[in-house]
Amino acid sequence: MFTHKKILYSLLLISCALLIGCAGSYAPNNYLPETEDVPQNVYGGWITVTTAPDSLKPNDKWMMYGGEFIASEDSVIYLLYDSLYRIPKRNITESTLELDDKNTGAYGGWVAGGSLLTISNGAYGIITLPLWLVAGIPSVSGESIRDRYEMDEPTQEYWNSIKMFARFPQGVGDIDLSQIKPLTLIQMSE
Amino acid sequence: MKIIKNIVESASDKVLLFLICGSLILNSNCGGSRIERISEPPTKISPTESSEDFPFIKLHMKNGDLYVLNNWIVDSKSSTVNGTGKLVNANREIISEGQFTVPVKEIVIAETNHIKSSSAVGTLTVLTIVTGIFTVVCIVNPKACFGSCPTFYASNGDDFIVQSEGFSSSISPALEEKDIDALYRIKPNSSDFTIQLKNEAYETHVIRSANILALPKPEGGRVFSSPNGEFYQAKNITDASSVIANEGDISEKVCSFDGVERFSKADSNYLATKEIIELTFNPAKSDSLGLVIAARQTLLTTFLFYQTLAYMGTTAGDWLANVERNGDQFKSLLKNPRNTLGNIDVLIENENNEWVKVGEVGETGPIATDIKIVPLKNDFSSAVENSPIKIRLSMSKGLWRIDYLALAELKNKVTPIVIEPTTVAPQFLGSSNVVDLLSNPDSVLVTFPGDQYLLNYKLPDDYYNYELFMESQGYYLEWMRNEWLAEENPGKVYQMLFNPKQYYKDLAPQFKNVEAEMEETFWSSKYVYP
Repeated sequence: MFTHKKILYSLLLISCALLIGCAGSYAPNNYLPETEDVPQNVYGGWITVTTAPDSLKPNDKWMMYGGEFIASEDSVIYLLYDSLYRIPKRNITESTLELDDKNTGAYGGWVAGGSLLTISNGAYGIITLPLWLVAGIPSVSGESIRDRYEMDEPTQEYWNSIKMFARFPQGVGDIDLSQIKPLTLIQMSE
Repeated sequence: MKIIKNIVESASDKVLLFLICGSLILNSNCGGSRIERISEPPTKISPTESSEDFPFIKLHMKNGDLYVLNNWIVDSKSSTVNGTGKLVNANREIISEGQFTVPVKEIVIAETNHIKSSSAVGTLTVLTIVTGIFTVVCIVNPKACFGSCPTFYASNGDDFIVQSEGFSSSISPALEEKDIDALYRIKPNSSDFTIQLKNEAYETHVIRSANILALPKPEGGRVFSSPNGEFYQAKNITDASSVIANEGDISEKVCSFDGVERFSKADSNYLATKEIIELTFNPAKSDSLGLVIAARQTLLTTFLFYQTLAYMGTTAGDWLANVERNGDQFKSLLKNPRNTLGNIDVLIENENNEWVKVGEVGETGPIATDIKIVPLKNDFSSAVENSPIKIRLSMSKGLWRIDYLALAELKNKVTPIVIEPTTVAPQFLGSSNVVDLLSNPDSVLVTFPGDQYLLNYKLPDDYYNYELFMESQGYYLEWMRNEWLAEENPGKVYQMLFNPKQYYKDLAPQFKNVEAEMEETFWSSKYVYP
């Protein structure tokens, strides 16, 4: 019951569970701000979209685009990576928007360490280890999916709900988009 | 594969898997949000000034410029937003920094963000504190946290439940002995019967045999083993009309073998202080009677055992080697502390109105409740026809948990059919076949913490007509813990062997300090249902 083997199995299962339960991030390292810095961050969130091939274009393929969410207009969204992409909403089959850097790794280590510490609880481990499993795993996987707006076949309601997280929530009406540099690449090289 | 198999085979591991799966199911609803963004046209800006919750405001302009202000306030009189910060262009290059007054009419969208505290951090912090508290408790008092005994589990139809502690007092090779435990509440549903053997403690278990004993049940009756290893068929098992202990009538607690137990607290000054329980039974027709007692020990003996090992400290190996070299002499010495603490003595009143001991029962170990029958002599005065039968139990306070007391009419003595395991999973230990190890009296099965085996037995075809018992033989070696070494004191070991009364007096305050805590720990563990 209180053996190292059982703790080992549990840690193994926790690791598997976390791998299964946690959502990975599409954003490059260093792009997303810390959660506490979001209120003063001047860029849009990181959006990743998958587009279906246009049936009118025989050579068109499934594509995945990722970049800073610049704006959402009636029928298109703007996304900035190495250059500015204008993507028709009707072609988008999946969309994921991320706002901040998650602490999933740190929390995962915390849960694994805490579970390991229950070895020192002896008989009490029968209480504390399940506590770590029941409360710890949801905490970690919950951290990975919070403030993450994800939708298959995104609807207009979805776009309206995430519009506020674009660099230009007001839309691109009078803005000179030709002057916008690919900030992502600059940040990634830093 | 072995790990996966072990997990699937183990009920408690299934529980862990269940918890993990359950937590993952819960997880889908636990994403939540920490970032609360309010994005409104300028005329609807709310809140209207900066605060701890809303330290920054971002003002989006028509041309893509953006003000990021702190210490901000909406001045409704002048229709401006005032604050300190920076102005960036559409490309997010800084245009200027400082104090700004921005006319509301120029603002397209005003945005504020509130960052909620992390529930994950809160949860994990609480868990860490709880685990830390238990860790400290276990460091301060490791004897309250660790320990178990060789355990055998049998299926009750739904799950494997603990049924037997094998040879719990056999703590060295010289003390190897055979132990018989009734599988009283197990009802096999076929002639294929399985026992789960586990090593759940920091101990090395050396098991010479693990057999099932099958004894024919009388019609409408049961079979019990007596403390001296005889088996009796018994019928007309009746509850006591009253069972009086210090706290009052406890007959409701001991009227059935159901896990509801009567136990008391140890004495504060002397751990071997005795208490009396008085039983009264309605007159019986038979003159051949036996008292059925289902009981197990509290954690007092576990405490005493570990405390003694702690007193042995770094010389524990020398002490145990001495047991091997001088087996008989040492066994005789070990009787001193054991007899001082004593078993459950059964007394009846003789013709001179004196209470005399007619038998005793008591098996070492706090995990499995063992049920035994103590044959009563026929010469007690209360055997007068139509008069109630009075019996007394005398035992050390706080040492026994009594689950069931009943009077039974003894019928025939019976001889068991000894059934050895036919197959075992896993089949091999190293290169040796486990069945061969357990069947050959010259070989042993050695298990370490975490090891477990499924022992399969072939019962008689009319298995339902048989009472089953677990008969195990072997010994175990307790692992020393670093925490115990600090208390090394050979003088106390000698005191235990030669002056156990004083030993139990000296240790009483120490035990009383941890008694409730040890019990609570134990009852929080998997052994809640004996």
